[in-house]
Amino acid sequence: MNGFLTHLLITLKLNMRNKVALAMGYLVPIFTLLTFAALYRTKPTLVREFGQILAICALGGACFGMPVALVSERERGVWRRYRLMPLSPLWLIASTMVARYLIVLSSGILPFFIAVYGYGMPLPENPLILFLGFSFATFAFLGLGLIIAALANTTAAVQGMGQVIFLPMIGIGGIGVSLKMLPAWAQYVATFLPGRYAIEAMNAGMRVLKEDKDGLQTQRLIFNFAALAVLGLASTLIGAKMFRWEGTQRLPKSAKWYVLAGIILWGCVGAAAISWKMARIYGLK
Amino acid sequence: MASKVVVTDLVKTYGSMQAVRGVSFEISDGEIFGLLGPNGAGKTSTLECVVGLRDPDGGRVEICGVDAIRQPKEVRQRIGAVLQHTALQDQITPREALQLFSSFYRRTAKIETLLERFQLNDKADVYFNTLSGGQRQRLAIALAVLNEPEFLLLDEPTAGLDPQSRRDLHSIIQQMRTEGRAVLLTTHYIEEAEQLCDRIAIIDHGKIITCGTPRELISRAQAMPRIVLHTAQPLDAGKLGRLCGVQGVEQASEGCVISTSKVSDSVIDLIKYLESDRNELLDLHIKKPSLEDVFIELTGRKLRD
Repeated sequence: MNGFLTHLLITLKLNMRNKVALAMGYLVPIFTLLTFAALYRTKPTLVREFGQILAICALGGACFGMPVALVSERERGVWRRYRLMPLSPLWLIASTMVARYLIVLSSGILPFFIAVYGYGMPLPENPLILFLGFSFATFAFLGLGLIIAALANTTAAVQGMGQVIFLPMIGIGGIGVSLKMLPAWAQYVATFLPGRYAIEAMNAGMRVLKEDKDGLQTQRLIFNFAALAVLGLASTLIGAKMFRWEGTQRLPKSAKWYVLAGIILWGCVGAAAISWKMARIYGLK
Repeated sequence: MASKVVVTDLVKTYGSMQAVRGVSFEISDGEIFGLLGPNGAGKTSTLECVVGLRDPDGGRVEICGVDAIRQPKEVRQRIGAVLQHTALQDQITPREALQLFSSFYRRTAKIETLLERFQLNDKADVYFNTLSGGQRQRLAIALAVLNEPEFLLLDEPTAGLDPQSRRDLHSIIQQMRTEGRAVLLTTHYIEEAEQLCDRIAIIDHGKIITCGTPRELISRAQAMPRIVLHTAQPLDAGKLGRLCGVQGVEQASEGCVISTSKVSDSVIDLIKYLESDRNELLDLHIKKPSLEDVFIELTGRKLRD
C-alpha cells in the first residue's frame, strides 16, 4: 500500500513537471470549452454540451496522456527496472490509473469554473450524478488507454492507436457530435462504444430529466452506469493481463482470448442497448 | 564458505537458438564473481535468468537458499541489481527515486545515509536528466543496495564512464565485498574484472569454458611473457631469435616484441647483444600473460568483438 501511494504521488508530481503534459492536459479542455461555447449557443448555456467537454478531457487523458506516459517510461527502461522489485504489476497499474483519474478530474475543474463564471452555465442539478458519471466514464476510457499501452511498442504507435479510438468516439460515439444529430446507423454503432453512455450519464447530472410513468429515465441511468462499469472493467482486465514491462516482451499467448472476451462483452453491452426495451429507452429507430 | 548463489545447469532458448547451455556456478558471501564473454556469448541471458527477468527453460537458480524461479518475489526482497538499458524518468529526483523504490521493500536503508554514502547529497533534489553519467550510475547502485541486499548483480556498471567515475565505482564495488555481499559482475573491461573479481568465469557460446581466480586463469595461459623494446637503430630479428629462451620475434606498433620462456636470461642476452652492436636501448617493458591473453586463447575473440 505504501508503494501504491508513493508511486501515485510521484506520478502526479512528474505530470505536473512535464510542460507538454500540462499543456495537453489543461489547455486542451479549455480550448474545447471555448470551441463548444462558440459553436453551440443553446439555452441554458452549455448545459447540454458540458458532458461532451468533460468526456473529451477524459478521453484525451485516457487515449493519449496515460499510454504515452506509460510507453515512454517503458521505452526508457523504467519499467524494466521496476520489474526487479518485489511487487505485482497490478499495484503499479492501479496507482497509474488512479493518478491519471486525478489528473483528468483536475483538468475538468478549470473548464467548469470558466463555463459557470465566464459563460453563465447553470450549476449541475445533481452534482453527485455528474461526478459519478465523470468517474465511471474516465474509468471506462482509462481501460482502453491501458490496452493501447499494452499493444503499442513506441509513443508514436500510441499516437496512432489513440487516434483510432479517439476519432470514432468523437465522430460517431456521441462525444464530439450530439447523438441526436447523427444518422440512425451511427446511433446503433454508438451503442457499442462507451462514449454514448458517458455523455448520457454526465448529462443526467447536469440536467435531471423528469421521470415518466414507466421509470425509463432511471432505467436508462442505471444502464449507462452499468455499461460504463462493464466496459471499463473488461478493458482494464484485458489491459492488465496484456501488460508488458519491456517493449521487447511478447504479448502473452492468452492475449488474443482476452481481447476476444473483451470484444464479446462490448458486443453484449451494445446488443443489450439495441434490444427492444433499451431501444425504447434510447429512442433508437 | 556458504554459497549465497547456486546456479545449476541453466538453459535458455530463443526459438531455435540456445543462448545459455547448461551454465553452472556458485557465489559465496563476500565474493565478487565476474562473468566475462564476448557479445552474444550468453552472459546477459544468464544474468537475466538469475535475476528473474527471463524464465529459464531448464536448470535451477537458488539465491539465499530460496528457489529464485518458484519464489521470485521473495528473492527480489533480498537482491539488488544494476542493469543495462534501464533509466529513470527525466524529472524525478534522486531523493524521490530512493523514496519510491524503498516503498516496495520490507527492509531498507535510510535515504539520507544512502545519499551521503553515494555522494549524492548535493544532487538529491535535482532532476535525473541533469545528473552526469557517474552520478546516474551511483544512483543506480544506491537504488540497488537500498534494500540491503545479500546478493548484488551488476551488469556492465562502469560502461561509458570517465576514468574518475570508474575508479569511484570500483571502490564502491569493493566495499560490497567487505560488507559480505555476494556480487555477480559482468564487464567489458578485462582489467576491471582482473582488479575487482575474486573469481571469473569465461563464457562463450552459452557455456562456461573456464572458471577460476584471475591468477589461476592467467597461469593456465599458453602465451609467454613478452619483452617489448625500442632501440635507436633497427634490430636484426635473426640475431634476436637466437638469444637465450626466445621463442619468437615480431615487429608491432608498440615496438619489437620478443616472446620468451626465460625472461631473465633473455634480457641479459639482449643487453649484451645491444652493447656489442652499439645500439642504444630507448625503452624496455616486460609483459606477463594477461587475462586478455587467456580470453583470446579460449574464445578466439577479443572481449569487445
